[in-house]
This record gives sequence, C-alpha cells and structure tokens, in this order.
Amino acid sequence: MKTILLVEDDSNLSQGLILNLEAEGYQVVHVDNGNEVMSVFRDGMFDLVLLDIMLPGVDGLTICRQIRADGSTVPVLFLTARDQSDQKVEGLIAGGDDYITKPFDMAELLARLQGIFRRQAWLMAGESSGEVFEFDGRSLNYKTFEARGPGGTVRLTHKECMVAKYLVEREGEVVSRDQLLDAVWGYHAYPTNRTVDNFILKLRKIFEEDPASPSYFETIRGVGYRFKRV
Amino acid sequence: MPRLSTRAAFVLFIILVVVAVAQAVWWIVFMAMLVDEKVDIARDLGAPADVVEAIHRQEVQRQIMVGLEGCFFLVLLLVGAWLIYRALVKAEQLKFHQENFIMAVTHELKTPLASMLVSLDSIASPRIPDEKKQALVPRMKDDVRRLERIVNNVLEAGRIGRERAAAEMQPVDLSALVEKVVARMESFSTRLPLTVDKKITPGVQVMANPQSLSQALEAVLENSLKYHDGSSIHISVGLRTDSDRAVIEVSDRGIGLNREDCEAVFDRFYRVGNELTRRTEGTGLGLYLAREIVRGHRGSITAHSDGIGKGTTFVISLKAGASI
Repeated sequence: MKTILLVEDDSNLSQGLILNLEAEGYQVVHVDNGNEVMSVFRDGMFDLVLLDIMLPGVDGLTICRQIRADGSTVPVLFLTARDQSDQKVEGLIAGGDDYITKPFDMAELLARLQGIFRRQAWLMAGESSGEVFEFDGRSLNYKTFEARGPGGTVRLTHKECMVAKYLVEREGEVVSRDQLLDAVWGYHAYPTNRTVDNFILKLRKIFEEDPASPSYFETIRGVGYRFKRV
Repeated sequence: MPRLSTRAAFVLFIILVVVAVAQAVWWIVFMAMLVDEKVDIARDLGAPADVVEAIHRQEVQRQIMVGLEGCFFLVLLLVGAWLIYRALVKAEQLKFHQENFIMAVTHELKTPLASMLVSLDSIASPRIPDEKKQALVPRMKDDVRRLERIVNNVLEAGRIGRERAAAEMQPVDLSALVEKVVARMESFSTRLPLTVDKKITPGVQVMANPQSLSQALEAVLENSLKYHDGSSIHISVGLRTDSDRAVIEVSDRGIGLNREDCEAVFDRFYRVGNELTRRTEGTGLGLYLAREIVRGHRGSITAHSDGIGKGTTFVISLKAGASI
C-alpha cells in the first residue's frame, strides 16, 4: 500500500481528500500546518507528498525545497489555489513534480497520482538492479543519481536523471521535446519546451568534453535530441 | 516587502539631500568671496572708507536675502522630494497588500469550492460507503457558508456602507444586539476551548443600522477568535456607557499586535504578515468594513495591544441614546 503525506490546512478539504484517497487504497498521513511537516516527513516513509502552497507557518514551496535539500527524491504534487503560470513554474523549480489547481476533480487528482507513480516506477526499474550505465569512461547511476564525466562526479536531480535515462534507453533514436515532456513531467505539459533544453545543457556540461559541440547529447534541429556513443 | 522602486526613490532622495547641502555650502562660500571682491574693487578705485563700508553693508544684506531665498527653495525641494518618497512607499505598501488580498481571496474562494467538489465526487463514488456520504452534508453546508461570508465581505467592501448605514438608522437596543452577536459566535465550532466573559450593561440604546453594526461586531469578534495564542481562546466582551457614549470593548488573550499594526489592521486588504505563510483564514476586509460601518454611525473603533503575545483590545465607541 502506498503512503501519501497530505499537507493541507483546510479541515473540510483534507477530510474529503482522506476519504477518497483511502477508498482508492492509499494510506494517508495528514499534517495541517507548515511547521510540523519536516519532522513528520523525516520520521516516516512516504511514497508521495501532496502539498498545499499557502500554509500556516512555513509555505509549501519552502517545504519542498527542504525535502529536496534533505536529498529525498519522493515525488511532490502541489495542491494550490494559485493558477498563474509563473506560480506553477515556481513550484516546479522548487522541486515539485506536478501541480493541480483548486478546485479539481478527484478523478483528475487520482490520474495525476497514478501518472507520477508510473513515472517513478519506470525510473526505479533501473534502481532495483542497482543499474549503472557506463559509456566511454563516463557513468550514470540511477540509484544514487550520480553522474561521472570528464569534469568529475555530479549528483543529478530526480528530473535530470529521468531525462538522461529516457535518452539513454533510446540510444541512437531521435527523441522530441514533447516526448521528453510527456515521459518526465506528464501529459498535461510543463509550461515551456525551453525547460527541456535547460536540462540537456546541464547533462552536456557533465558528460561532454566540449558542451558547445556535443558528441553524446546531440541536438537534431527542429526535432529534438539524440543520445549516441562516440 | 521593500521593492526596488522604493529603494530607488530613497537613493534619489538621499542624492537630492546631498546635492542640496553641497549647493548651500557652495553659495555661502561663493557669496562671501563676491562681497570681498566688490569691496576690494571699491577700495582699489579709491572710494572713501565710509563708501566702502556702505558698499560692504549693502552687499552683505543683498547676499543674505539671496541666501535666504536659496535656502527656502532648497527646503521646498527637499520637502517635495520627501513627499514623493513617502507617496512611493505608500503605493508600494498598497500594492503589497493588494497582492496579498488577491492571494487571500483566491485561496478563500477556491478552497471551499475544492472541498465541495471533492465532497460531490465522494457522493458519486461507488467506493465510498453510504454512511460516510451522510457526514459530507454538514461539511458542504459549512463550505457554502464560508463562500457566502467572503462574497458578502467583498461586495460590502465595494459598496462602502457609510451612506447606506446612515440612511437606515433606527433606535436599537445595543445591549440585546451585542448579546445576540456574542451568542452566535459562541455557537461557532472552534478547535480550541473557547471561554467568553460578558459584562453587558442592559438597556443601552443607540441609533444604528442593526445589520451593519452586527456585521462590524462580528468582524471584531471573528478577529479575536482567529488570532488566539494556540492553546485556548479567551474573549471578554463589555458594553458600558461613558457620559453620552456607548462603549463596546472586545479583549482577547491572543497573539497581540505591535504598535504599527494597531492602526494598520483597519486598512483595506491589510493582513499581518505574508499570505504564503498565512496563519489564519481571511481576506483583510473584515476590520476595514468594521471601521467603515462604525464611522458611518459617527463612531470610532480603535485597537490596543501591549505588544506581540499580549492580547488585543478593540474599542467601539458610539453616540448613546435613541435620537440623532
């Protein structure tokens, strides 16, 4: 049974969510203020954090940053009344995996949860066997998120590791930005394709001798990207 | 809260002060040199000593006059710059509170909507047992009441009820009105134990619009309910007459206010702190409306606190008597 940490200060909404999530077979731990989240989070094992942004004490964005600073890769789904696109981006930059704006259908929330768990399972598929992908003296560890390149070893974020894994698994194939968006962020789309480009830049800095003329993570003009060994 | 434009305005103001002071010093030095120069020329041309003395006196007087005018101009310039700076700071503060208000209203409207939608989905769900569905009805009613309250506040703020209140004045038994509003508040469900001490002088009459005045008193009481110290809620409500005034006092033992917030809490959209880390529900309109309504009754409302953690007392003063 998957355990969800629900962080929501509104009592009525929380009770409704707990009722539905438990009916769907999830176990739910509820916290109604920002101050207690981190201690509850550190004491427990959670498969996902459902996190409101406007909270008493500490806001959801700060909590998400703290979770990531702890080195946790647990998926974070923001539950927010704020629907401006820059506010959504803010949540994703803080380390969130997805967001859903209030009011929402339970069916949509459940679909988002399943999408996150599906993507998580795909990433973990390498993790269970302790898979390390090695190529040309470089390596990518799906378990520790460590990436080793000519400049040394760097710890990737959850999403960076997912982008790298998706490309590596399709070695030699051209992958479009939309494919990457769907696979890593979900079908409902991240606000901009530019985001993918930024992730590729980061991977090039780690793995390429010369990031300006990449040999491994190539840009295919007008289409997307391709990973190939030299 | 400080924004770049406020900081830029402040830097500009400081630059103006420095330039003005430098200019004033330069004028004084320059004018002193000019007087000496003219006196020297008169002396070189062989003017008699009394004429040189007269020229010196005249020049000094003229320079003092010009200097005073210059100083007056500088003071005007500085006052103008200071006023502009103050206006910019106020505009920035208003912008901050408006942004907070938008966030608060968004949250306050969307959260009960989300809750209702989740409850409706629960009712439609075959996976949730019927007995649990029954429990959703009072919760949905509560959500509707929350929405109604916020919509009413926003609409009322748009109307600004002063004239309306004045137009609908009637003799009101203030003692009964206070009792009724307090009894309604006592029926609210609170997470913490609630104690209410009442000291209400019976039979106090005022001219008032009973609906508006009830709304103002509710806003004050709601404030005391919300800003508790986290362990319990203790509220004292008093009504007394003081010469020709009817005075309502609402005191709590909650989180208190600092000196600036005692005045600012009545400003439109004002909420203490940042909305992202909101401690309580609300939009920053309740106390603003309370002040507008009380002013519409030609009364006054003030907040007093000995500081953070020391509770708050709200005092509403109205003209006593059932005649205008």
